[in-house]
Amino acid sequence: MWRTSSERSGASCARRRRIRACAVLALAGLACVWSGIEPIRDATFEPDEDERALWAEAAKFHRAIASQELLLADDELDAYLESVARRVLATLGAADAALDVRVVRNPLLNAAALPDGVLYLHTGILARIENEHELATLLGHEIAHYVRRHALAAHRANERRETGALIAASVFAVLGAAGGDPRLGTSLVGLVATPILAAQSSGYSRDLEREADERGIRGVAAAGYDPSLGIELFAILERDAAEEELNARVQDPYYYSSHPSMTERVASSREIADELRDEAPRGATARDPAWTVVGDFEARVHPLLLPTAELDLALGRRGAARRGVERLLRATPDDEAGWMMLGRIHRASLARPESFAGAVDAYENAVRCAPESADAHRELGLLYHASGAPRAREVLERYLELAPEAIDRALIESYIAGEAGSIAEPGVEP
Amino acid sequence: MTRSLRRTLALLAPLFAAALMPLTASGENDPYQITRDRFRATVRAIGIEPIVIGPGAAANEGLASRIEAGVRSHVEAKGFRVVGSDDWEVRWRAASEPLGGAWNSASGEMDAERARVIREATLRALALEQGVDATLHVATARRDVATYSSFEHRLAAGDRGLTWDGEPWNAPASQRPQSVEATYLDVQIRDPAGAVLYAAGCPIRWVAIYAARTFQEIDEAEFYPAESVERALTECLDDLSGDEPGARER
Repeated sequence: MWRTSSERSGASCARRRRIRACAVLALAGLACVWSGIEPIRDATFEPDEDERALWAEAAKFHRAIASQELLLADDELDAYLESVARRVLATLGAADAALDVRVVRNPLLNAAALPDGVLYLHTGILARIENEHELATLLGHEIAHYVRRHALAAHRANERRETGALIAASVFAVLGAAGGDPRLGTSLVGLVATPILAAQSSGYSRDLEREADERGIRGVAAAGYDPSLGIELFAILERDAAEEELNARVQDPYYYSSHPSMTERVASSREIADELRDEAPRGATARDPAWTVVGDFEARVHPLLLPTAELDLALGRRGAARRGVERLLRATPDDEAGWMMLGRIHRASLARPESFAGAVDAYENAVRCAPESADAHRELGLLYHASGAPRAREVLERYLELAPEAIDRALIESYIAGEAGSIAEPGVEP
Repeated sequence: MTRSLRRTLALLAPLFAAALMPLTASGENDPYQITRDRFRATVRAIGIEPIVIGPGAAANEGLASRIEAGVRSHVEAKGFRVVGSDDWEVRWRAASEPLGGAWNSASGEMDAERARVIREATLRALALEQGVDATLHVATARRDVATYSSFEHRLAAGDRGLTWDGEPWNAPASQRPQSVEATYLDVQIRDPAGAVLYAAGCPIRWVAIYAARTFQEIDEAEFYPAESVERALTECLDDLSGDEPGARER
């Protein structure tokens, strides 16, 4: 068969990629053989002596998370996540292995697999993922860590930090978070009380991370997902890293520390995805039967968007909060709660004219979606009043009609009575 | 000393031993809760909330004004526009009067719901009338320093005894204190949604020491020496200068 030079070059690249991939996996495999670590294959797996200590620490962590009521109770979501995870798990040679996926209420972008097969996903990262292919890629990476027993490998190799100590320290941090550092304040207690996830996702060496990426993506493709769509996950994380809004202490942990840089990950993952695409059925795309999904990701993740935005707003991450709500509103433009939340986000920077306008628009939409909503009329009326808009009186009166027992009735009545003395346009310097 | 207190102090002893160890990396806590760049991009005008004096308020008249003057001077020096607490109070009163105040006249306690409405109206008015992006909450408190690692550098132990900021305690060197209490200055900058954007707590001076079977305490009037308050203010707000907008994170 004749090939064009670019095809020849492409074929040669694919060959080189395959050789490189084989080398990575072979080296990682050799490392595991040298350290005597066999991958987990099924439910009969028994941890080694030293691994039991890691499992014991993981159990302490589970208890701490449960006692702080940080777990999201959504059986349907859990079942959906587990079905995707099990689909990937089967392709990694451990179909019957123990696996439990749990969701933690936390807006930071993070996920982690603990050595005993419990996967924790933050609501923050789920709210940022856009489809099941990306979800499978995230799960594939974490499951690869678990199946390949990377926690044990890291523990034995004592790579810079000792994993057991990390787990213990993290559990201590979870339990001791309320004691806190007086300079940090108390606003973040609870929200960042899951540092073990950071420890787990940053505690592995780059080689183990690369191996998890490599095996994860291959497993995801073998499970029937489109790897080229899935690796968009890394692009999302890279983009969000650029907009990272927290300080070094509570930054989104997923793409920091020993994780290879996102740029590097995107590039290497794309190479693998390209190679897998070469091997996939001709012309296969996400719309073809060759790539299938198991459920309605959007429907499952939507209930997380508002609570996550709420947590983001509490952390001062207005950009992240706004992105989450706007995503919700794109799918459900008549969601009053979404518009109210968007209004609240804009109100956090009301001194800026653009935020003022954004808040007015959000509350106008909230009133449109819920004409009987007292809260929507209140917020809109107060903004109209502030800007001297002619409709202020009408909207505030409507609020009092809808909420005759409102605690601020006297204050609102004073605004209505003194409409002529409404406060200045935003952005005007005193 | 009661048996339970002795037991408590005995439990605290190891903690205190740890507190006396030298601090290897001072200033490791970043008061910024969002990135400095984002802080500078978000916050240009800061409104000072009325200063809250916790311990020793009655014995330190005029302290709130003194602290506010210091805060204003520090924050303005960092390049922020400052709106004083008198502006806050005017707007608080304007929102409070139609509602009959934030306090429940029957119980004498604050009505949390009414206070929330008044605070929200105050913040809204400050944002729209004065362009305030965030408010600065300053309060003083009394805490056990042994539980807070960021105060270790103020404690020193040697052959000649123990000192706090170079001042000796009247306890023999052999009698290490089980507990030291100090006054603090707490500073928080919050956005109108209530998110804490910057938070720092800095010690002012020690006010009580429990050592072996002895207990020393200073008079409330001495809780806030001017130079110690100024040092705490500088310490708490020094980071506010940060880097220039667009500069790299630490």
